[in-house]
Amino acid sequence: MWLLIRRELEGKDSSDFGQLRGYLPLGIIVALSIYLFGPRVTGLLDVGKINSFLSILGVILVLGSLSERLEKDDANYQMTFLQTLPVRKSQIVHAKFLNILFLCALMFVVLYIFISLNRWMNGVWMLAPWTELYAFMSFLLFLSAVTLFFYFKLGYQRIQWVFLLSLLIWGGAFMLIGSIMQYARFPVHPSLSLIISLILYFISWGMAVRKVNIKGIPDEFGSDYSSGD
Amino acid sequence: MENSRRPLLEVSGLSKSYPDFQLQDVRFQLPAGTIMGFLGRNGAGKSTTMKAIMDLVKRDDGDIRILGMSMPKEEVAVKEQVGYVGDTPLLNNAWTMERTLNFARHFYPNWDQDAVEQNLAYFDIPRDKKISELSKGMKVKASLILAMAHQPKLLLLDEPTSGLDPVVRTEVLELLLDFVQDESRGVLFSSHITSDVEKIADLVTVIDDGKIFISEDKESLLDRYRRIVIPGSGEKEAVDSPLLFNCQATMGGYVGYTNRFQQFQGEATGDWHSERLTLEELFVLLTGRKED
Repeated sequence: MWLLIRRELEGKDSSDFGQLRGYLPLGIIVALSIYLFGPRVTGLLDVGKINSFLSILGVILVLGSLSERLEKDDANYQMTFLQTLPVRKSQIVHAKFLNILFLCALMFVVLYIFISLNRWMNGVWMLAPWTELYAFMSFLLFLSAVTLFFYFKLGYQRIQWVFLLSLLIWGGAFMLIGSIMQYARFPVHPSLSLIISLILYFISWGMAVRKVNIKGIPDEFGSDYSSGD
Repeated sequence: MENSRRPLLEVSGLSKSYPDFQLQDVRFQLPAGTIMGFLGRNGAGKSTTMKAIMDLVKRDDGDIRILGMSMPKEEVAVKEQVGYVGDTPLLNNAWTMERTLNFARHFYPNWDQDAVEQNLAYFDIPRDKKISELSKGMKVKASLILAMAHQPKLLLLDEPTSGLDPVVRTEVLELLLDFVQDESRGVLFSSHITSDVEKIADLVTVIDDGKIFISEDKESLLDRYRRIVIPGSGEKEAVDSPLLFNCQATMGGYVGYTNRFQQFQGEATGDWHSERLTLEELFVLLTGRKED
């Protein structure tokens, strides 16, 4: 199982988390940018905008990683290859979902550090509710949940519309939760959207395992529904 | 003791429906120590059958047993004993052969590194080149090395020689012959290159339009089916024999075919002679004319 998760985590060209080392210069550039563009030096961006920028960057990195991995797997018949190994199909699903959960958790920590750094460097250090971070992370989890479920249901070639659909559903749900928070007489913690997304992620995970156990993993290049040879 | 007598692979009642294609009641057995050529035209159902055996496509009905174990119920144990090469190499183009082998070896308790080294040398496959830099022939050879690295009992090869040059094809066929020297092993080998099947197969299974047409010993099949040539001067009664089919008048007389040569030999009178068919001729005959 660990081998399958490790395969998911590793970059396409390097082994042993080599790609993570590649993010170090990016981290330094981001930290310098926070300082240079922040209120203390140039004042081009305020603390809130920098936080939003950081969160968007984090979401893009994780979604980019997910998208790239699914695309490469499809192009190289890797789901088929994994099924020829002595592993259960459910383990292949578990590895994909665990990988994204791990990346989301890692990104949560990284963003937490950078947002704290932003507040500290720009002199507004305070323990405010981390609404934006929760919102972006919940979006990330929701999109990953929907993408992975449909990936295991339809195959990579048939999930191009998933991003747009997820964006619309999540946007609507987020506005609804926002309204509830605004008008609720009882206090609603901003982490609610994250918790809901997390629950949906686990539901999607369970459904994907069930689907794969019954129907199998779709053929790569969407040839599952064409006539066989 | 009972296990040693059991076929390596038993497929019975296998069916799978697609909107425009159906695999219907596919059944055959592969005994240990044999190579079975799995013949069929494009779209006949060869790859679907192979994938269903590996549970890469979910069957609608039927039973598949490998070494007596049920698929997919005992999927993990079965796949430890099976090597599969698909119609497209299932190798990650961004990885090197070294990395591919290092990844796969952890999944198999029977991994034989000495055999891997031997096959890498035999096929002259570089370890450090990315798979994307290998030629098609090398990719097929690399896939075979990977499929055989854990000393499987059963090799399932879906069109492994298609698109390869004759030298590489011969190397692959020799490797397969060598593989079944150990009589506890077997190979199911799909192809539409009938000459390859004729060279190495002990058994032949023909699939057409999703149905198994014939599954038997190659030699007895080639003995049973004969081309019967009746010269113009010969007895015309022979042409009317119910044992002959596809009878046609030719410049010098008549040509027909029989699938019960021994019986025909005993019953036919007059001037005639028989010709042994090549597997290719037989394949064209069988898939061109569907007879009982």
